Amino acid sequence: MKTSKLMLVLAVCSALYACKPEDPSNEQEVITSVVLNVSSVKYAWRDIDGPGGNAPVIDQLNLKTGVNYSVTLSVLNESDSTQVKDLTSEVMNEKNDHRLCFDVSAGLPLVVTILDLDDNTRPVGLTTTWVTGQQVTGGSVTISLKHQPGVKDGTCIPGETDVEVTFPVSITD
Amino acid sequence: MRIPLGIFLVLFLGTAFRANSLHAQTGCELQLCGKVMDRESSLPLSFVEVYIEETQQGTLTDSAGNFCIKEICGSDLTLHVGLIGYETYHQSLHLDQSQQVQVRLVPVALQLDEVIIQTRKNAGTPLQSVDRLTAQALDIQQGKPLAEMLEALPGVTSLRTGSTVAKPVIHGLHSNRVLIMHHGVRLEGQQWGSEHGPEIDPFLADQVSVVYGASSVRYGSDAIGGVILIDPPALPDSARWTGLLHLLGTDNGRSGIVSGYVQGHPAFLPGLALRVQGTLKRAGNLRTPDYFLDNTGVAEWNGSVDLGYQLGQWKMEGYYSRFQTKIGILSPSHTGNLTDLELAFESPQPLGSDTVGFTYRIGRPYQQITHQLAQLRASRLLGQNANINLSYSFQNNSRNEYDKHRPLGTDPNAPEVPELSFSIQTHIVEGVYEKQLNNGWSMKTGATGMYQDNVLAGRPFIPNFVSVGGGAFVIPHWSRGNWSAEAGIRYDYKWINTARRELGRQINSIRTFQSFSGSLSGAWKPAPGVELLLVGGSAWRSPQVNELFSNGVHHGSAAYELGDSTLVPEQAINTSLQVKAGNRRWQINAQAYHHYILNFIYLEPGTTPILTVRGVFPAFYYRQTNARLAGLDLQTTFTPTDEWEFGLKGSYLYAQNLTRNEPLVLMPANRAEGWILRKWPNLVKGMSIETQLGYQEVLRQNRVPENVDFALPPSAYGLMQARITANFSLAAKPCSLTLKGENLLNTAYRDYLNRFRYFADEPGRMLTLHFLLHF
Repeated sequence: MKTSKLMLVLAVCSALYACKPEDPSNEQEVITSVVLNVSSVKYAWRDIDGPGGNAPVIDQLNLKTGVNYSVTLSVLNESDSTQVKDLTSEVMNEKNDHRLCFDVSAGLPLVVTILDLDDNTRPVGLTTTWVTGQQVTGGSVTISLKHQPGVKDGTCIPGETDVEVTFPVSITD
Repeated sequence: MRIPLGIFLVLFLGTAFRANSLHAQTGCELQLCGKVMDRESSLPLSFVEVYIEETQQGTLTDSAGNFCIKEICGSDLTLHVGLIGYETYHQSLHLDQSQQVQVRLVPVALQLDEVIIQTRKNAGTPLQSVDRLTAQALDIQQGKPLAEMLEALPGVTSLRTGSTVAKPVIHGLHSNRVLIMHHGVRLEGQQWGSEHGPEIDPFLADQVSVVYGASSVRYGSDAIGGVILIDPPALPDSARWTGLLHLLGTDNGRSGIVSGYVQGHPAFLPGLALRVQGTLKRAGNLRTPDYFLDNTGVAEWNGSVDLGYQLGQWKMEGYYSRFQTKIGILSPSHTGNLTDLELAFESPQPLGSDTVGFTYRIGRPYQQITHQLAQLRASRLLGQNANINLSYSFQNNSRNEYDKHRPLGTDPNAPEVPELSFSIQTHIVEGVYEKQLNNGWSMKTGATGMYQDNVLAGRPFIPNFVSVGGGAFVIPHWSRGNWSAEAGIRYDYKWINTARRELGRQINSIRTFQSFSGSLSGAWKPAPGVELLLVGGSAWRSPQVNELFSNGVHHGSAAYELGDSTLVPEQAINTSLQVKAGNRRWQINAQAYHHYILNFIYLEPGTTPILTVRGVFPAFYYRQTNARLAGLDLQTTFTPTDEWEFGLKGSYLYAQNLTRNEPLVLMPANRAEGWILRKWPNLVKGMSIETQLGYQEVLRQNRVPENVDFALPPSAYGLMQARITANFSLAAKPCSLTLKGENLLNTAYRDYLNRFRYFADEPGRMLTLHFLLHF
C-alpha cells in the first residue's frame, strides 16, 4: 500500500511540472472569402475568423436591369490580415478538377454564362457574364466551388463542395 | 486460508455465469471430485481454482481442500488447478466414469531450477454480470473487427463507420462510456468519435470478457456502460515450446490474415517465459449485393511480446504490443457540406459506384493508426494471506486522418500530410493490495494515477490538452456457503488543461472533476445449476474535451458541433439482475438491467443553422439531460440429444431522454437470433464435425428523436448464416478447418448503427475459410 501511494504521489507531482498543453498550430490553407468583381465593382462574402465565431459579412449585389455584366471571381484566405492569400490561381491551376456553379434563385431574372473552359472544354466559372432582366426586389445567387478530381463531367453533381456561399441580389432600374 | 478470495469467487462466478454456450454439451452425467493439498506440508488448500479447460466448468475448493465438478460433458478432458503462489497443475484425463482425484500443488518458492510465471486470467473482475467469449467462441468470429466479434454476446452490439471500423456498444452505451482493458491497462486512444475504432488486435486475446453495467469502482471513471477485458493467454508454465497459427481468407473483400504466436522458455535464461505474437491482414474493396464499396480496404500489422520472470519473491512481467493499421474510408461518404450529403441520400447507391471494381489499393480518404502499449507488472505474496500487484504502463496513440482530397493548392508531388492528426500519450501507474481476512471476508484496495498529453494538428476541431488524474478504491468481499457479497467505494480526481485557438488567440482553460463511485452486489446459488446475481453500481464520467470545447464541422457527418465548457460529469446508477438456471438439457441466462444516468451528455439540435464558407450546417449543441436505459437480454439453449442443440438469443432496449421526454438517438434496435447446431463427434476416426445454421432478425429502430438525424432509420432486416467446422489432427497436432458463410442470402440492407447507412448498403454474402493449428 505504501509503495503504491508513493508511486501515485510521484506520478502526480512529476506530471504537474509538465502540465502545459502545446499551443494548437498547423492550421491549413482555408478559404475565408469569395470576391466578385462585377464590371469593376467588388462584392465580397467574408468570414475571416473561419467557421463559428463572428458571423460572415455578406455584401448585397446591386445590379441594374438589362445590363450585360462581365464578372470575375476570386477566392481568398484573409484569416491573417497581414498576409492575404489569393487562392484563385490554385483553382486555375487545377481547373480540370474544379468547377464553379451558379444557382440563381427562382424568379430572379438573371442568366449566368460561363466563359472559361478547362483543357477538356468543360466549364470552369472564374470568368462569367451575367445578363439581367426586369426589376425585382429580392433574390439571390448561390455560388459553389465543386472539387471534382477525376470525376468532372461538366455538371455540378459529382465531387465535393469546397465553397458554397449565397449573395443576396437586387435588380433595379 | 490463502489469498485473494475475491479473485477466485469472481473467477468462479465468471465461469459459472458463462453464457456463450454456442456449443452443445454431450454426455453430461459424470462427476469429478477430489482434494487439493500443498505438496510440502500436505495441508489442504482452500479457494483453489479448479476447472476443466475444454468445458470451462469450474469451482473452488472448500476449507478442507475438497472440490466437486458435476455434470461434466465429454470424456477427454484437461483438469486445470491453480492458486497464486503455486505451480499451475494440468492433467489430461479420460473420464468414462465419475472419479476422485488428489492434487498436490508445488509452491513456487520451493522451485529452484524452474520458475513458474502465472498470469491470473481476469484477476480482479468484480462481482458483476460477466459474459465471456472463450478461445473457441472467438475463433468462430475471427476475421471481423473486435466489436463485431463481441456481438456474439447478449446485449452487445456495435457502432460502425462502414465495414472496417466498429466500436462495441454495451446496453446502448459506447465510445467513452465503455472501457477497454488491454492486458489490464485502460486503452487510451481517441475514444470520442464514432469513426475511432478500438486500437487492438483481435487475435491477441484467448479470452474476451464483458463486464456489464457501471464498473467505476474497480476500473476507474468512464466505465458507465461496462468494461471489455481483453486478456492474452497466460504465459506458458511448461518448458515445451508451443504455438498457434491462424490462416484466414474471405471471398468478399478477398482478405487474407496470418496470425499466430510461439511461446516457451528460452534455454539461455532459466526462469524466463516468453511469447511472441503477430498478425498480418490485408483486405480490398468489399462488395454489397449490387456494387463494390469504393476504397474499403484494410492493411494491418500487429505484434506483441510478453515476458515473464521470477525475481526473488517478485513475479515480473513485461509486455509490449503494437497495433498498426491503414483503413480506407468509403470515398462517397466524405461530403463537403449538407448539399452534398442530401445528394448522397437521394442516390439509391453511392454516386459513381457503377465504375468501382475490386482493388487492394487504399486511396484517400483513409486513416492511419498506430497504437503502442508498453507495460511492466510486478506482483508478490506478502505472507500467507496477502499479495500486492504493481503496474506501470505507457501508451502512445497516433491517429492520422487523410481527407478525400489534398487541400487546394497543395503540390501534388509533396509528401502526404494528414489533414487531421492526433497524438496522445498516456502514463498509468497502479497498485493493488489484496488481503484474506477471517470469516469469509477479504479486502482489495488500490490506487492509480494517470498523466495524459494530447496534441492535435491540422483542421481545428478539439483543443490540445494535458490531463492528470488519480483515484483510490477499497472493495471488501464476503462469501459463505451459497452466498457471496461485495461492496466497493472509490474516489477519483481529474485535472485537465486545454489550449485552443479562438479568433487567432490562444486560450487556456483548466477544469477539475472529482467524484465518488460505489457498488454493492450479491450472489446466491439456491440450488445446483441455479444462480442469481443482483448488482447495484455507480460510475461517473467527466466530460471529454470534444464535449467541452468542440467548435467545428464534424467531418463526414455534416454537423456543426458546439461544445459547452460548463458541462459537469455524468453519473450513472445501474442495477441489474442476472438469473442463470438449467440442467444438462436446457440452459437459460437472463439479465434485466436499468441504467439511470444523471447529466447524460448528448447532442441536441439547434434552431439556427451555422453559416460557413462551405455552406449552411445544422448546429448541434452538447447538452445534459437525465437518461434512462432499461433492457433485457435473454439466451437459452436446448439440447435434446448429445448431437443436437437449439438456441435462441434476444435483446430488448428502451432508452429515453427524460428531460426532453423523447427517445435517445443512436440506440441499437431490438433483435433476436436463433440457431441449430448438429455435431458428429466421431464421424471418421479422429475427426469431429460440427455444423451450425443461424438466423438473425434486427428490427427497425422506431424509437428515435425528431429533427436530430438526416435520414430515417433503415428497415428491419434478417440475415442467414451457416458454418461447418472439422476438428482433426495433423501430425498429432490438433487443428481445425472452418468454412463459414454470413449474409448467405446476399440480402441488401442497412443498419441503423452504421454511420454509412446514409451512403451505401452493408456488404453482401461473405464466405470465410479459417484454418487453425496448435503446435
